[in-house]
Amino acid sequence: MKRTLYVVVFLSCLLAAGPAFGGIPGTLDKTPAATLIVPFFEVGIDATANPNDTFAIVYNRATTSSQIHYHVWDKNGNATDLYGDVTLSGNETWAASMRGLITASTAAVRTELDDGGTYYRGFVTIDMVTAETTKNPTESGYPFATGSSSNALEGFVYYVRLAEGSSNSMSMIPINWVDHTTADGTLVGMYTTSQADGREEFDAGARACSEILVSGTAGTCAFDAVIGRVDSRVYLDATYNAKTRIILFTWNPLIVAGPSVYCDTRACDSEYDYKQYDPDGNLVTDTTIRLPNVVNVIDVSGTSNGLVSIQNIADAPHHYMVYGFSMTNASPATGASANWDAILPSYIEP
Amino acid sequence: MKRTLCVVVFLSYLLATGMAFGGIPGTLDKTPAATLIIPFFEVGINAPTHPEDTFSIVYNRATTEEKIHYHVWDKNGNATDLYGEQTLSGNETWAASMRGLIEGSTAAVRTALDDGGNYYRGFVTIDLVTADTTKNPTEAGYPFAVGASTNVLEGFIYYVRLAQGSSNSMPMLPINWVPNTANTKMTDLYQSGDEREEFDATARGCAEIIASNAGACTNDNEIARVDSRVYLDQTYSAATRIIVFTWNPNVVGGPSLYCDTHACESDYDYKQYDPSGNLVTDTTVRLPSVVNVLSVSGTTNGLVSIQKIDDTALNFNVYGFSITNASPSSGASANWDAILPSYIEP
Repeated sequence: MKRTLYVVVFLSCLLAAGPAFGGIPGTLDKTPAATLIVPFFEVGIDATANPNDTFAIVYNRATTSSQIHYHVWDKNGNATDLYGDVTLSGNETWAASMRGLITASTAAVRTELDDGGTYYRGFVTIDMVTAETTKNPTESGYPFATGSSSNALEGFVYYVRLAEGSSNSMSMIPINWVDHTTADGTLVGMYTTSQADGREEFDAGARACSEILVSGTAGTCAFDAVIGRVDSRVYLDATYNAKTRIILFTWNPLIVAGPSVYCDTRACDSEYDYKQYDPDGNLVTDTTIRLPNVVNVIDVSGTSNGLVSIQNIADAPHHYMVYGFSMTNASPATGASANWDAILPSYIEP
Repeated sequence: MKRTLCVVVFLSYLLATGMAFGGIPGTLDKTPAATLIIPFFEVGINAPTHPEDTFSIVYNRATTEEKIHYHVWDKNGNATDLYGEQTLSGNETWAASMRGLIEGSTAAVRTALDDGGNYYRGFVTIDLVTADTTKNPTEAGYPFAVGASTNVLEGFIYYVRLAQGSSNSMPMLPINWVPNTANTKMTDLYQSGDEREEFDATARGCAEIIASNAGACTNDNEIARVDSRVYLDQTYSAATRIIVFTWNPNVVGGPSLYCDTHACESDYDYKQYDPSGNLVTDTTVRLPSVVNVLSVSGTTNGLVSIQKIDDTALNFNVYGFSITNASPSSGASANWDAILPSYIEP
């Protein structure tokens, strides 16, 4: 009788919470997650001259209410005082304009996010939590929601310059809750040194580990000290005044700044291969590049389309989460009626 | 001495071929792959009135020359006679306009791809191959290139209406070559022995189970949810379409058509939520084609969840994304679009 009651209660909880598929640890698969990351936002400080804005959309796929905590970080990985908590009812969507959030924040926050005088830039973390908090997710005592029912968030990002007739979009980075008591330790513990946050990692080690496990190839998971390649599409057709930027997100939540700054004072490489290929496969730029920030905005030079491969990015501390995408802005002088942009996620090999 | 020689030869081979990370079976992770899929293309038949085009970009990340075979399929999964090969040198990029390919094809192909009189629609497969072929990848004898060194293709898609000032983009679906050490529920997308990863419900679930160390893989007869963002703000005359790609390479048509003559469900839950979480549409939808183009009704933003898509056949590979087109009548200077991949739960 007691067992039957337990089963009924358990099933009732499942139905109420709407348990989600857990997602694949070490892989940024598009499945509901316990944490979402907006890896880059850009807001023109003068809205008239630079109408760029970034919209964050978060959907709660649970049938019950869920609490999320968002935290805004500067491009170097410093947590700012711009944060908040939102309670979403079942199936509710939260939509926020980064311009709106920043405009309503303090002068100190705006100064922190000011990246060169023209734009506010940085990134945002959004976590399912169990209570309101003033902490950021790297701090002790942060109220992470855990368990399979916490994989209930789906996030989308719009990069817009509506006054100039352009919008583009991509998914937020979905970070699954992972059961650290059963999953390989290489895959879990993004924010903290312990694995108790239950958040999947997407550093080189986690990506490789996921492949080893799922492919059934010989060997065990091991730390991987380098991201092999981040390959990004570039489109630089001068006919359309096209310009491409590569956004390379390299975040170790345990320290401030990107891998180059980390390696400046340690026994690892601060500069990484930067190879640009034209459509015929010719190597038109063969140089190195630094990644000093968490959010690295790289302007691609030249006028030929093709691909840029950034290679051998150091991950000496085995904790640099890496994601990349390219943004192309085009402004045809004739023919097309207005501006258009394009966003393409990068291909990443650990 | 012999061992040293073997190591040197092996490493030389790796360097020559530029062997890639293998990618994760059962997961559409953005890693170089042996096969790429364009899950949807759309080309306006009359370019002046319907300037939509789809650009296909394929990059060979190997340092050596590679051969690809592309095959164009109609929206129901019938292979057309529009196909061909490209030989790409190391690091070369192949760029093709679907309009260009279709206009250069036969009248029969154009008829096969005509979806209602205004648009050509369908999908494209692109495989690394060992030889030229007139076959499509579901046919016996197709010259699949296999092995770790075949995971070298990176693909991108642009959906454009340039004359109307809009472009959007997303990656192609990267289908990894998978070693035979992997669970068999995750391989053989096209046919037995092709060694291409699957992305049906079972393969997706299996990848999660193995990576999470959560037990043994089992068959999964349905995709639980495909959740797609919708944006219908009338201020911007916004309209959203959801593209649900449901392909079983062994049959023609989508799961609804399959289930019309088998013991499984042909209609799937369609739930549309407004921003506050209210269920504004609660109905069912059929997915009769491989490429299903669903126009979302209403004027409120939010999300559409298509649920319990049947996969009794255990081979319906599923992917989804939404396309929003907006044409503000004032304020913004022109049109803009947005593409967002759907969240998918097996």
